[in-house]
Amino acid sequence: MNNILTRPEDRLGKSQIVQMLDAMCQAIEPTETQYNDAAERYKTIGEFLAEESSPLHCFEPIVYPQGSMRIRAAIRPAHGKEFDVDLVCEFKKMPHSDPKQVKKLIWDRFHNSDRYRHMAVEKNRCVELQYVGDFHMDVMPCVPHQLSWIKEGSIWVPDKKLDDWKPSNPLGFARFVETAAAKSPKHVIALANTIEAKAASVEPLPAEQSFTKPALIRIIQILKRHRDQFFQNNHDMSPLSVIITTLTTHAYARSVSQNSFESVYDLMLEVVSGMTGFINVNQQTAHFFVANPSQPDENFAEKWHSNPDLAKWFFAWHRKATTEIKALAEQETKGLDNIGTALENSFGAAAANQAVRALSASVKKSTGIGKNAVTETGLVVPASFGIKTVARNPHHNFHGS
Amino acid sequence: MAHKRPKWPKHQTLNIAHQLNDLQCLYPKGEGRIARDRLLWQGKLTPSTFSREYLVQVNYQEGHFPVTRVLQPAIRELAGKRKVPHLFRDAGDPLCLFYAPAREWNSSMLIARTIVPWACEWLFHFEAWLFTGEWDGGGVHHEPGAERKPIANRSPSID
Repeated sequence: MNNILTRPEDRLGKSQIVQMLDAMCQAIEPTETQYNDAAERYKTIGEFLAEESSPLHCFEPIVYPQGSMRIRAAIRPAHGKEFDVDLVCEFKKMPHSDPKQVKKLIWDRFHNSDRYRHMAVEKNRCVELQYVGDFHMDVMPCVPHQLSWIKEGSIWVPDKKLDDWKPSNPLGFARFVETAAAKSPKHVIALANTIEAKAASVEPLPAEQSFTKPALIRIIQILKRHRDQFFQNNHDMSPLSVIITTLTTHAYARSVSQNSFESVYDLMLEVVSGMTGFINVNQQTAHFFVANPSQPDENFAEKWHSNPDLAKWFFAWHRKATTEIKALAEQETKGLDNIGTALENSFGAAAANQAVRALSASVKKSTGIGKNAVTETGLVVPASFGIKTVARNPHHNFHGS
Repeated sequence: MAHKRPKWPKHQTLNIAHQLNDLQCLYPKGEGRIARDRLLWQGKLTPSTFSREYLVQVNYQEGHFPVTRVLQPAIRELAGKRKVPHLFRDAGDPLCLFYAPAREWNSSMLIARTIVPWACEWLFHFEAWLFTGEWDGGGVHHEPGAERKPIANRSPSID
């Protein structure tokens, strides 16, 4: 725990950074309606594959989302509007031992349908359904793990070359993230006038200083967005989302169980800087190993071995992300506009614009409902923030064009 | 000819000594003085922890609207070629802080508790505007000249 409690003004600054990053995430993630639409669509796909007239009916297919759509950490690609929705089509009864044949079953089913034919595109391991404007849905066939004693949720998915099955556990992975995300960070309340930090009490973080979604999910989204920006012209070197998600979740779980924080921003910094601690290095081979938490012998960083540049770029990106997120609260050039520029460099122009606009709009809204006040140096602060203020801001309208 | 009654309820005008005292109590680092019937106050205001420090001046003559300006830094320079929103087209670019026709401000109100907090907000939204190009602080758009509408049938003077 950090024993030097910061000034309440600094906590306000950090809270406003969190507010801006939260607005940015809201602008790049699927809306509630889009999540509902996606759910509606994959339910329909599931019914279509499983209905009695379907040749797949006897293999009892069920369709469910995996990955970022499942844990609700999806973000829009940096250039483009469409979200990728990864779906698993799990056959309760194994239709065929050859992954190619199983994929063909799905492909044929979509291809022979008037409804889906024009939307279906065959990919190596899955069938992609293109819903114009909103989503791509990738339907990946899989079968239950053939060792019955293996834990629930384990499945076999086609490997890259499609000549064999390999174990996977998308539900287990989602549970790993969701379990950690459900743990709330502990909040150290900064008592400016107490002599000893030990006297500070520990409580959940107040809503006004928090993200509007679980902090872990937001941190994952922020990092993925930063990655997309960083690798925009170097896409091949971009680290996999599953690696970022895994490392962030480990770091988050450790931070919330071991430490208390004065702000969500401080938590975010510790999580981001701590994530590389969960990359294991094999002592003999010096290979990096990022274990799939739900399938520990699977190495998410497998490719780093054959292509060491991937590791090099991962660490270069991680250093940049850590430095830039840290610098947001330590800007030397003053001005909200300069915070905007810093956000733009890290996350792109549109995202930064949303972030700054949201902060400005929220100040306006708070004044409208009588919740803003000013300090003797002119700082506009939420009246309930715990900063000494001299006047409440009355409602008003800026005049003029 | 009979004096025309104002349509709004009468309010108690606070004298400028009272105004100055309140400004000095709330913003002890600011500086104010009274010259004849005029109150001049200036103070350094920083609207957010990320913000620049602005030297803001309020010029108030009883019976007129307070006139608020940013003395430093030069906001027009910060804005570059863009037209800064919510400024009066008068000397020294006074800030449009309230909607006079709705009587959001009258002389019974304390400048330190209205004009100054509003100026801080103006600066906050101004810095956001510098980056986004959008004014998200809200406000009223109006026909040109309306801001010069007098209170108590007297035209506000600027300097």
